[in-house]
This record gives sequence, structure tokens and C-alpha cells, in this order.
Amino acid sequence: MKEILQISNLEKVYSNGSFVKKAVDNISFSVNTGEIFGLLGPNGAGKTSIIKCICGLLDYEGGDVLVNGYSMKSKRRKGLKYISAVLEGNRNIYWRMTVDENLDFFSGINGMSRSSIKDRKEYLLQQFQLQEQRNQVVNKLSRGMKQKVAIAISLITNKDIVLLDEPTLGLDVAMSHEMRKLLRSVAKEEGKTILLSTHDMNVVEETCDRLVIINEGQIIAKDTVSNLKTVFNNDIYQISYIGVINNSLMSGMEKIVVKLEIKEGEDHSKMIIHLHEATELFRIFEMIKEAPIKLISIDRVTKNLEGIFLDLLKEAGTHEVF
Amino acid sequence: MKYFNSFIAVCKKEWIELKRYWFNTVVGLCMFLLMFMALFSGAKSIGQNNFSLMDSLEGFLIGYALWFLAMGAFADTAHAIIDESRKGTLEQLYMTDVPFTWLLISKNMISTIIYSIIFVVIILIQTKVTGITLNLDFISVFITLFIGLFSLYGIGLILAGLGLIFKKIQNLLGVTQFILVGIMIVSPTSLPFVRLLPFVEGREMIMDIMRNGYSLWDFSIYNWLFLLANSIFYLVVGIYGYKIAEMQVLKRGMLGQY
Ligand SMILES: Nc1ncnc2c1ncn2[C@@H]1O[C@H](COP(=O)(O)OP(=O)(O)O)[C@@H](O)[C@H]1O
Ligand SMILES: [Mg+2]
Repeated sequence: MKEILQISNLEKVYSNGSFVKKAVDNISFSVNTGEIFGLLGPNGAGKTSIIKCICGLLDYEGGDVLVNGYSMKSKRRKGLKYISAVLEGNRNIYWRMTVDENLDFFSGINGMSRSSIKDRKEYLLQQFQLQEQRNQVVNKLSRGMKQKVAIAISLITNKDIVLLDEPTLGLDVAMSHEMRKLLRSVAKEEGKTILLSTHDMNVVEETCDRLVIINEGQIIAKDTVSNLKTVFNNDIYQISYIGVINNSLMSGMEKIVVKLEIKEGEDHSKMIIHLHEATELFRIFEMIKEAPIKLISIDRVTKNLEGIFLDLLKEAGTHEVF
Repeated sequence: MKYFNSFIAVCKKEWIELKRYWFNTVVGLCMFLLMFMALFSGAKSIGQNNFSLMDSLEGFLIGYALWFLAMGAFADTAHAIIDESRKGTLEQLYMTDVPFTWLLISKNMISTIIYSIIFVVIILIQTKVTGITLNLDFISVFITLFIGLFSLYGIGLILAGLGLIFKKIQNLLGVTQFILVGIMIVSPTSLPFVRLLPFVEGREMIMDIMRNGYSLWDFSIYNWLFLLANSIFYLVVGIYGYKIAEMQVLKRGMLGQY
């Protein structure tokens, strides 16, 4: 599989007088041709900055971005041949022009003649179910419709990579779902490489093949979506019990578990243990049997990406998530 | 071909906007003409039958129309860039297959044509209303304009660059409009260095055509070279100034942020 997009040790520092902010801090990842890759992170994590560095709208201070091998620093124009983008808030469209006029304009300024895009335009209008709206001024369309138009425009030039910054932001639930489906089908049918950013883990979970999780400009996790889920799911158990855990049990368990949280309650207490592997649970049982506590229940905790995401952020030391 | 297609796309967009918002243009034009009439009748009543004033009334008429044109020409570039930045479309224009400067030049060429047509309309109405007769050799005027206006586009680019960085460009545009009135009215014969200002040479040549009945061939090669040099100089300075601003803008990420 070819790595069409390579980001290595990317650094972006905003400075203005005494104001200095490192928004992107040594970020590296690669995106393969044809996959949907997610940039997941809370607000202010640096997602937009990364995307703008990739599409040549932002100079970076360190590292490099290679688009199909071309550095966006020294070969910007060459790299741009492979990239189109929809930045935050579908602002790539002229609200005072119709859908059709927008599609014509953006293909035109990219050097394509009207006749050469005719078929593609029809295909996209149909794919995005925008035929009825094609002669309407964009301003009159709903937020979701506008977002669809924005994405259709990014596809009209038929470039290999599509960057989408928060493509589901501000959409209602139904529209958000439609958008996810649409993105999947675009990637599949057209073989496009999609890099999308979002703070919504459900979006990543449903659409992406792989992801990086970013917080305060740094990568805190990098994996496939399915791996991340299994790794974090396999081995979390919640044990409810009555009694007090003594020191010997505590120190015994601490030798085995990855992480141990205790929540003491009125009638019973709970502990949440993270294990390296499920078989370690048997050793925990052994220890509990010796100790003066009474077991009530053991539940396996399954987490969706959202839970994993929140855990990772907690580890990274963020207090304010949204 | 790429360049041609993008030029056509820019043309079409300008045309669409003109068509959709023609009413605003017409209203603006009417206001402009009303103000002219007020000023003109004021000036006329002051100096009745005063031959030299009648002579300068012609100059006033042409200067006033040129002022409209010039305002459109340079404010257009600055406004367009800042407006696109606010809307977020500027970022898209920076990501196209053709250089952004080409899109700008395309837009300027089309603006020149549109504003020239409006200029002709204004002059025709003005001459009808005032009874002043002028040499209406619009071909000569248009050629001079086409070359001369690029100096103002240069200034527009500098303003646009400043606008992207400092955002509050509206005030600055207001001030430059008054400077422009100066450029259109101050005669270079009294102050020779004024000829070095943008568009002044163009204005002089247009005055000569319309008021003194010159045609293209009546100007010396020196006139043409000076006009060309003036436009190229200010355009180059403008592009260079914009590039400097752009470097800052790309560093600070202000291309699409208002
Ligand atoms: N143009 C800018 N100038 C200064 N600081 C900025 C600019 N853009 C973003 N930042 C700061 O950089 C950090 C990352 O922002 P951003 O990339 O927009 O994150 P995200 O898209 O993940 O919300 C934030 O702290 C933000 O305030
Ligand atoms: Mg963002």
C-alpha cells in the first residue's frame, strides 16, 4: 500500500509579538492511498492547523508534509495537484451563487473546461442528491445541504486526496449519519484518500480505518480503529464488592494490573481493573478469595471509542475536554 | 488551456454577480451622477460666462468620471481579497492549479472592461446633461485606460495585503479615496513630481483625448513609455508588497480568518 501522504515531525508555532503558541508539536503519521484516516481530538488540539499545513495554507516551522512525495514547503504547487479540501464550516463555497454555478466556477479556476466536467458534475449531483437544489442559491440551503455542496465541490476536480475539517460539525443527527455514509461510499467507489478531522469519536468509529488522537498539539494514540477498540476493551473489568481492601491485597493486585481505580460507596464499593490479558483475572480471583471482602459481581466493561478517547485524554492530563 | 479556462471561470463569476446585483450598481451610479450634477451646477453658477472656468469644467467632468473608475479599480481588488478571506473562499483560491496572482489578474482585466463600460455611460450622461461637448473617442480612451489602470491595481494589492494582516481596511480605503480625488484633480504641470504618482499620466492622456481631441497617434512614444512604466512600476511594487504581506499571512494562518 502506498503512503500518499506523509507527515513527519510537523511543528507549527503561532507567534505574534509576545504571544507564542505551539499548536502542532512533533506530529508524524502517514495516510495510505484509498483509506479514510481520522484526526481525532478536542477543540484546540491542533487539527485545523495540521490540515492547513497539509494543504499549503499555513507555513510550518519544523518537519515536513509530503503529498505524493512533494514537500508542501518547497513543491507546494506540485503537491496541490493531489489535494482538495473543505475547511471548517463549509466555507469553500460562494453563498450568493447557485450550486451549479459553484461547481462550474471551482472546476474552472482549477483549469478544467465546462465540457470536461459535465459527466462528473451530474454524477456528483446525483450521488449527493442535490439535483433538485442545483439551481438554488447556496445561501438558501440548510446547513447540511451546504456541507454536501462543499464536499461535492471538493470532489469535482477529482483529485486523489480530500481533506475534510470537521465535516459533521453542526449537522443534526440524521444529516450527520447521511454524511458518514456518503464519505464511506465516496472513499470506496471513487478510491479517494480521505483525511478527516473531528472531535466526535462516533464519526471516526463509523467512518475511519485508522486514526491518530491528538491533544494539545501532540499525538497521544495512533492505531487502527478496530485495534484501538480491542486493545482497550479486552481487559477492563468492574468488580463490585463489600468490605475494605487491605494492604496486602492492594499491593498484590498492583503487581498485576495496568491500572486500578477504586470507587468506595455506601453499601458496596467498586473497583475497575485494567489487565494486560484476560487470564490475569484468575490470579485476581485467587487473591480476593484470601482477603476479607465479599464479591458481588464482576462485569466486563466494553468501551466504544468515546470512552477510550476520554481515557486517553485523562491520561494526557487534560481537564477540559469540550 | 488551464489559464484560459480559469480566466473564463472568473469572467463568468463576475458576470453572474453583476447580473444578480445590477440594481445596486444602478443605484450607486445614480447617486454618483446626482452628486455630480449638484457640484457641477454649483461650479457653473459661480463662474458664469467665465471662459477659463468653462474649460476647467470639462476637466472637472472627466476627472469626476475617472475618479469613479479609479475608485472601482483599486478598491475592487482590496475589497475582493478581504471579502473572500472573510467568506473563507480565499483559501480555496490559494489551492488551485493556477497561481492565485493569475486569478487576480484575470479579475482585474474583467473589472477594467466592466468599469470602462460604466465610465462610458457616465460620460455620455454627463455630456448630455451639461451640454459640454467632448471628443468621445472611446477606443483611444479604453486603450489608455487598460494600460493606466494597472498602476491602481498595484496600489489595490498593497491595500489588500495590509487588509489581510490588519483587518480594519475600511478606514484606510476611505482615506485613499480622498488621495485619489487629489490625483484626479491636481495638474502635473504645476507640480512635476505628481506625474510619478500612479495613474496620473493616464489621466493626463485621457484628458488630452477627450478635451483636446488627441488620438492615440498624437502622443509621443515617450508618453506611452512613461504610461507603461508607471503602470508596471506600481503593479510590480503592488505584487511585491502583497507577497511580503502574504508571507506573514501564511505564517500566522490569517488567510481565512477574520
Ligand atoms: N491563526 C492563529 N493564530 C494564533 N493561534 C492560533 C491560530 N489558529 C489556531 N490557533 C491556536 O492553536 C491551537 C490549535 O488550534 P486549531 O488548530 O484550530 O485546533 P482544532 O482545529 O483542533 O480545534 C489553539 O490553541 C488555537 O487557539
Ligand atoms: Mg478546528
